[in-house]
Amino acid sequence: VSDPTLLILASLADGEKHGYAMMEDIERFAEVRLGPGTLYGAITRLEERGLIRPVASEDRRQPYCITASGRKVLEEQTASLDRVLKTVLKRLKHA
Amino acid sequence: MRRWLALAAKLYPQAWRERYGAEFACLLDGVEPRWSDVLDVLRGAVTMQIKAMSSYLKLVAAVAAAGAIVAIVVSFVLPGLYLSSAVIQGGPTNDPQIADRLHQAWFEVTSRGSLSEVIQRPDLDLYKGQRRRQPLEDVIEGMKSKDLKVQILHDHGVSARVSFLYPDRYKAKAVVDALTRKLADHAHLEVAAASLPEAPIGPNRLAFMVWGLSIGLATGVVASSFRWRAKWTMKVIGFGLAGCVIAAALSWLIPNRYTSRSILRVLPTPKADGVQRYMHDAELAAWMQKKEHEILGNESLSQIIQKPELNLYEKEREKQPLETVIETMRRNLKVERPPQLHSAFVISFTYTDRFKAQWVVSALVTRFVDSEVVMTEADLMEYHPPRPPDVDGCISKTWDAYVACITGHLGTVFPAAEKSRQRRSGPESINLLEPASLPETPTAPNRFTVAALGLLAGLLLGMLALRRRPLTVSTQ
Repeated sequence: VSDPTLLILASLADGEKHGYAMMEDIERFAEVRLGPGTLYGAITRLEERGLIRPVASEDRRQPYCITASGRKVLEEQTASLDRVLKTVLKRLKHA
Repeated sequence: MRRWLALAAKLYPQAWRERYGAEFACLLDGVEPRWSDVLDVLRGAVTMQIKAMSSYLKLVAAVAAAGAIVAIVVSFVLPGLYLSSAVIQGGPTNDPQIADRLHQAWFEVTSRGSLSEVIQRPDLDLYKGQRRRQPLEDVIEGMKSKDLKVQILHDHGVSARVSFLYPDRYKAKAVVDALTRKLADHAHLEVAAASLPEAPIGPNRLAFMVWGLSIGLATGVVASSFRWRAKWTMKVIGFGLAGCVIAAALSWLIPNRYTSRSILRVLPTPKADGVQRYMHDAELAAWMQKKEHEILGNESLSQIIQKPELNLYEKEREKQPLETVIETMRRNLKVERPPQLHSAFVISFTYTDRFKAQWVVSALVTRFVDSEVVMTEADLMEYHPPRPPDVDGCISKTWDAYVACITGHLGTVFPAAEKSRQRRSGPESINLLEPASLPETPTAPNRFTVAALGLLAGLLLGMLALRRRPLTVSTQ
């Protein structure tokens, strides 16, 4: 599970965050360190697809939040991952 | 390390930096820099550049292709153009005199009067729609410059090919027939019947496609700019439009200027064989130099300027001495020799009042013509100036004897006779090929060009004023 876009959506699932906060959060929950170029490449793609959006801020740092379609995509992706995980676990148990 | 990160960040596409640059710089400020981050940012920059370039090219290519398709469709919708042509045989030898005659005759055949008659002939009724929108003068100019062509050929002797391009093939043929008949009459040559074109030769669909593609490319570039730099593009376009509006408004403050022109031909005295020849360039130049000095001199122009019914350059005369105003008039007055027309010259004058412009040209034409009026023997016989009785004896003599007689006795009383005698050795007459035109449309200022220049200047100024600021990443 190292797709940067999925990791960003997962990070924003519990609230808005700016780039640096996303990097730290992802490193904490997924143990994956996204480089600045990778992070912003994914942010650009997600914003273009309307899955995240910038939130107005006074700060130099730009926070983002997940949109309704972003949440839907995240749910579909995690459901799919869940099915894969359950299948893998079941097969490992019977092996 | 941060310096390398900042440098790598500068490699992102400009449009991307405008959108994400500030927050990306902020993120780079926060991270503990590593070499892997520098490589990561470099990779991200390259990816974004490729993406931006490919999106840009895709959009530009799509709009350009659409432009080309639209142009091709338009070229199929437009009516076909038919070219009719006819050849006039000048003779088996490469006689330059025949080419000269053809040129002269062509000029006469394509004069305003001649073409206006052809255009308005009830059975032809050419350029009907255009004539509703434009003055006839402009329609004639368009016909001469675009549709009507003459080509002097020197392949086997001298001949001329006359061709005319028009949407109606029968009318195209009729025009060529009419003009070549006139041309042949003027040049005393034989003419072959004009061809009836079978298939249209235009519109040139390839040219349409190239134009459509070019306009599409330009539109695509602007559209791409809108797509990735909408605000910047809008501002620059705003600058351009403001420049355009200001320039157009300023151009309306400049008064219209109209140019009237007339064409005259100088014919020297025929030689003993009676063959009419035209003046050589050097001969005409010398003649014109002499006449210009006489007719366009300060005295002559000052008379015209101060004529009560004309009252030219009224405001200028209030502020400047008359000599300066005469110089101003001279700048607006042109006497030129058209290269395609032997032994002829064009007088043109540009002024803010079209009627006065025409009047000035007419007055100058009259002076040129009057200056060359030769009093023939018959004229002198009819001329009854008050003269002493001892001159009567001279009347019955021949021209030269008469002139010798009266100049010998009464040179001061009757100087015109001496003048006339002298002029007989120079050009004999001036033909008025085209009288002074009454200009319909102003020749200046060209408001379209002024507005276009204003637009260009505004765009450049806008680009300069809104030039992008480079992305700065703090190194602290």
